[in-house]
Amino acid sequence: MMTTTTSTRAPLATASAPAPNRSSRRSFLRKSVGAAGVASALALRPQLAFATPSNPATGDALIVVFLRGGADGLSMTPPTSTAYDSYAAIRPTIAITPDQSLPLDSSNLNAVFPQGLDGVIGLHPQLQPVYESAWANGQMAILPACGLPDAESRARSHFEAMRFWERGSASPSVRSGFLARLETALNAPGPVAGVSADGFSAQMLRGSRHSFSVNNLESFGVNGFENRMRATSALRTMYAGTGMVNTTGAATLGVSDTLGALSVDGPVFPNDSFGRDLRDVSVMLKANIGLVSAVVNLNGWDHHAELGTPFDTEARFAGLTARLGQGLRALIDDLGPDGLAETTIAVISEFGRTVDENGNGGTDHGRAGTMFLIGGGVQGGVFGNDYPDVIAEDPSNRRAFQVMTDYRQGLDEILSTRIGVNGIFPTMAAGTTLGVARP
Amino acid sequence: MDHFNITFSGALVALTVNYQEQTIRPNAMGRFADLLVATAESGPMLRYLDNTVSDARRGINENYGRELLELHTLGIDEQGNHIYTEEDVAGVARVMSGWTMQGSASDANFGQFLFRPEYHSTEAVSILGGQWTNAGLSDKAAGDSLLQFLARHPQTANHVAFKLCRRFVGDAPSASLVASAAAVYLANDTAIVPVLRHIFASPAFATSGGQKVRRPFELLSAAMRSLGSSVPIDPQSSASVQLVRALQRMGHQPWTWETPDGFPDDAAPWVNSNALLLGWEFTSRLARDQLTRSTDDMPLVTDLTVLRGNATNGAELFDRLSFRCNLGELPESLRDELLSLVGITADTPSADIDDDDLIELTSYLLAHPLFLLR
Repeated sequence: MMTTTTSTRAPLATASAPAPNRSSRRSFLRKSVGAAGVASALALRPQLAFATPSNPATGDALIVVFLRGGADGLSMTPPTSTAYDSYAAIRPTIAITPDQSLPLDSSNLNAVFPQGLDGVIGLHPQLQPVYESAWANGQMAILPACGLPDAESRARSHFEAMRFWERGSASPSVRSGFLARLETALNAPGPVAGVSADGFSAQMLRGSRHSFSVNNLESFGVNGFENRMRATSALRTMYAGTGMVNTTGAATLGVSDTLGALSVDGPVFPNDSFGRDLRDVSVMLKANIGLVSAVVNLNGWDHHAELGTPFDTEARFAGLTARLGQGLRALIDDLGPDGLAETTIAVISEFGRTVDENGNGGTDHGRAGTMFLIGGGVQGGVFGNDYPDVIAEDPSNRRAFQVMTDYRQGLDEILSTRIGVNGIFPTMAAGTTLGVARP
Repeated sequence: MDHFNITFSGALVALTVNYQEQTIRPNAMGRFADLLVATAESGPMLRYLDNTVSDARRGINENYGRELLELHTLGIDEQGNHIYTEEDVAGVARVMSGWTMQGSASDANFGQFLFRPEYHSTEAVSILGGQWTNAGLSDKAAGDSLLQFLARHPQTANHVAFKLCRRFVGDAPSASLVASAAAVYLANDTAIVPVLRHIFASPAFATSGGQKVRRPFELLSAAMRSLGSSVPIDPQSSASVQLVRALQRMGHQPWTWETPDGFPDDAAPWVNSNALLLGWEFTSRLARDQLTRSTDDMPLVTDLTVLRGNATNGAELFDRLSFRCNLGELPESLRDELLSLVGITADTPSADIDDDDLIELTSYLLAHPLFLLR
C-alpha cells in the first residue's frame, strides 16, 4: 500500500497568534515540520518496503507498544481547557498544568480534530521527541478516554484487562490474540510475520503460526544445548513431518537462521531494554522478512504512589514517559520516512487510572486511558467520540475515567484502511469512523 | 483446576493452596454437583468473581452469576451459543447474592464461607423459562437448590462431558462420544469417575495417542519422568523455584491464568515458535543439570544410570532412550543421524559413549516432536 502523505498535508502556516507561553514550542514545531516536509517527498517513491514478493498484499506493519501496568492517561494527555480546573482540583499534587504540557491544537495545520477535540488536552512534556517529529508532521493520532466499553468489560485487573485488550475482546469465545488473527487474515507467509520483542509470548500473538519472540536478536536462536549447530541439525532432522508441531518447529528453525543472520549494528537506540527491543523490531522490519506485526512492552506503569512531577525525569511517571518518548523517536528516525510510510505504531495500555489521586500521590486502577497511533498512514490529530467538560468519577465505574471511545475503533480503522483487513475484532460494536487512517 | 479457575493474586495468595487442596482435590473424583457446591462455598472463588461484594442493597454484582452459567455449568460454545439469557444471568446473580467469605485477614477464619443475609436478594427468580424458580428465600437454601438444579441440567452434562473428552481424547472429540459421556454423567447423578471410565474404555481413547499437545506443565513432568530427575519436595528449594520459573517463562505457572476460563486445553495457544524454542531449551537444560547448581541443597539431577540402562552399544542406547521418552520406534535413518551428530555410531560400544554424548543424545530426543505430544 502506498502512502501519499503530502497530498493531505496543508501548507504550513500559523493560524492564529500563539499564546505567549507557548510561542517557543510553536516556533520549534514550525522548524521541525519544515524539515519533515523535505523528508516526506522521499516517501513518495513507489516501493513496498516491507512486503515480500510472495505476499504482495501486505500493507503497513503494525507495531504495538504495550505500556504494561496501566498508564495514567490523564498524565499522558492532561486536560488543558474546560476540564482543567476539575482535574486539578482532584489531583492537587500531580496535575500537569496547561503551561507544562505540549499543546495539541489546530496551530498544527497538519493535525485534524474531526470530533472537535481541538485544544482540549495537551501532551506530556517528556514526549517532546515524538511531538517534534510525528505530531508536527501530522503522523500522530491521539485518542484520549479510550478503553473497552462498559458493555463488554469493566475489568480493572491488570491481567484480565491485558488479556482482553490483547485478544481484542472480553468474550471467552475469542481465544486468540488479535495480531494472530491479523496474520491469519493476511495469510502471511512469514517467515517472520509476528514478533514479541521482549522474549515473552505476547497474548496478542497467541495462536499465530509465524510469530515468535526474541529477547535479543544478537543471541536469538536455538538455546540451551551443548552445541547450537549440532542441535539445530538434529532438530531439523526431527521436524520434517506434517502436523502443527512439526511445521511450527520447522518454521521456527527456518526463522532462527533468518534472524541469526541479521545484524543489529548501526541503528542508534536508547541503551535500555525498551530501546533494544525497538531496535530489534526495526532491524527485522527493514530486513524484508515478511513482518506484519510486532509487540514491544514497556513495563512499570502501575503508579499507585509517587507519580511525580512532569519535568523530573527521576520521577516515576516522567522517567518512564521520557524512555517512551526517546524510544519512539529513535524508532521513527531509524525507520525513516520510507519505513514510517508503511508502519503504524500503536501505543496502548490495559487501562487508565482513577481520575483522582490517592493519599500517596499516585493513582489506582481505573478504566479509560490514552492511546497513540503513529505512522505515515496515520492522520495526525486528536480523535474520540467525546471528551468530558468536567473530569469526574464515571457514575458507573467507581473513581474511574469514563471510556468514551472503544480503543479497537482506531486500530480497526488502521487495519481496514492501511492493511485491508476487516473483522479482526468480532465483538466490537459498530461505531462512527474516527478518521485516524489516511487512505 | 482449569474448569474452576481462580487466580493467585492479592488477598487470594494465601488461600489458593487451600482452594487446591481442600476445595478441588477432595471433590475432583466425586460428584460434579459436590465439586460445584464446594467451589460456590469457597472464599477464593467468591472473592475472585466479586461475589463477596455483591450486595443486593447497593447493587448486585453479576460476575459470579455469569461465570456460574457460562463457565461452570451450562456453558457457551465456541460460537458463543448458550441457552441462558441475560435475565437468567441477573437472576442467578440475585440468587447467589449473600454467598461471601470471612473478609478480615486478621480473622482466623479468613476466607471461610459466610452467608450474609443482609446482602442476599429475596426477589423471586425464574431461570431458563421457568425450569427452576424460587419464591424468594431469605437464606442460602435458594442457592443450594439452584446449584443442584444446574449440576444436573443436561446442558451442564454436555459441557462437562465435552471438556473431559477434550482433555483425554482430542481437541475436537466426536459428538457421539460427548453425548454418550453426558448420558453416563446424568445416569450416575453427576459422578465423575463413571464418566472417565466411559471415556477411557472408548475406542476413541484407545486411538488418541499423539492427539494432544503437552502443555508446559505436562512437558515438564514428562521430561522429569524420562530423565529420572529427583522431584523436589521442598517448595522453597532452588529446584522448585527454578521449575516454577520455567513454567512462568513458558506461560503455564499454576494459578496464573487471569480469566475465569482457565488455561486453554487445545493445541493452538501452546504451539508457536516461542513455545517450541522455550520447550527445547527447558528440556535440554533439565537434561544437562543446568537448572540448578550442584551445590544446591536438592539439585535437579538427571539419572544417567537409568538413562544408560543395560545398553551395550549406540543402537541399544538409542532404543533405550526412545523408550524412556516414550517415542515409540523411530526410523533407523534418524537414529544414525542423531548418533553421528554426537560422534558415535550404532556399533559404538557402550564403554566408548561418555556421559556428555549420552546427555546430548537425550536432549535431542526430548526435543522430538512426538515428545511434545501425549
